[in-house]
Amino acid sequence: MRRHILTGATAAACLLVPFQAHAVSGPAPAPQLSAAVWDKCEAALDSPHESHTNPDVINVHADLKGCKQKMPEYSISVTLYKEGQQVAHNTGSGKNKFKARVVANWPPPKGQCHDYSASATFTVTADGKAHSTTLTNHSQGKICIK
Amino acid sequence: MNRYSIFLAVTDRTDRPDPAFAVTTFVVETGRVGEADERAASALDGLAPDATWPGLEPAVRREVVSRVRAVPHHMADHTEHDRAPARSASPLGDCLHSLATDGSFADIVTQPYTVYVAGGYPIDAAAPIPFLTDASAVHPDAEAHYPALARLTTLLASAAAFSIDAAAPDEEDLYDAFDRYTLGGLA
Repeated sequence: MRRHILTGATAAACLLVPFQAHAVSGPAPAPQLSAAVWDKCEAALDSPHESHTNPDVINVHADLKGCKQKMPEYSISVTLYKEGQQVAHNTGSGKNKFKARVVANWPPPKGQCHDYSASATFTVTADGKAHSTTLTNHSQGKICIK
Repeated sequence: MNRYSIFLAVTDRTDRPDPAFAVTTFVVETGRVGEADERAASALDGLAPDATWPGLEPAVRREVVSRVRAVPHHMADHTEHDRAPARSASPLGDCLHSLATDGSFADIVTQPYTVYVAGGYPIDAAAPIPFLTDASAVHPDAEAHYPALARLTTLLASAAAFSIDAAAPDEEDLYDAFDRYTLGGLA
């Protein structure tokens, strides 16, 4: 069945039922931890979860968001662990941004179930001063790749 | 083989009293670009051709975000020209230079890539803009090659201000559908 998305005031009322039915079929968003970094910007690290686009891959997202003004400089470093052992690491950095997201991901061998954790360090540098915070998060129980 | 397929949408209002110029970029690994276009077509099925993100109802935004999460991608970026674009010789060149030299994109352009321009913006592929001249190919008609990815890129352009709004909920933020993204001004 084709679903149709409409613009205008009637869209939500007409389409709420099929849209909700579609939405609940996907994985729920991974719970996030967050902390203030600089100005109104916050750092956020979600719970390691199975990728939506690559079902055989474990993902964790590290975000800087919520800023009311652009971050003069930022950096994000995120590491994914399988039962305490590092399996993936990624970094991102840039200048003059409102928001940024970096991902660390890892494709475990099929048929394995593991607990995952992640740690990320976020830094915003403004007026020559570095503002940093580090967050750690855990998977919601074991994640099994079949 | 090209490693990346880079889709561009240009927002150009430099002829208006409140000048604004921005380049929105959506990157897909070339090996998955066909699959990405199919999934984007499914994700955007039924959207009015002229739909913009601010014009969608919240429930529709949430549903589109949920669907777009399934689209294979490498990253998304929205770069605003925040330094008087009307007085720049090439606002497009400024944005593409910033993109190519700052952050995660700097790694992407060290690999072979093809550029697809969405929305009919008249890009001169021969213009002395390294981002374009270094590309394996520049297609000014993204819609003729990958129509759904072209549509997704133009929708991302219209969704940027909403995403930048610090009060916007994540589940209605189109950029939240992606594993890597950046939004901001010139580096």
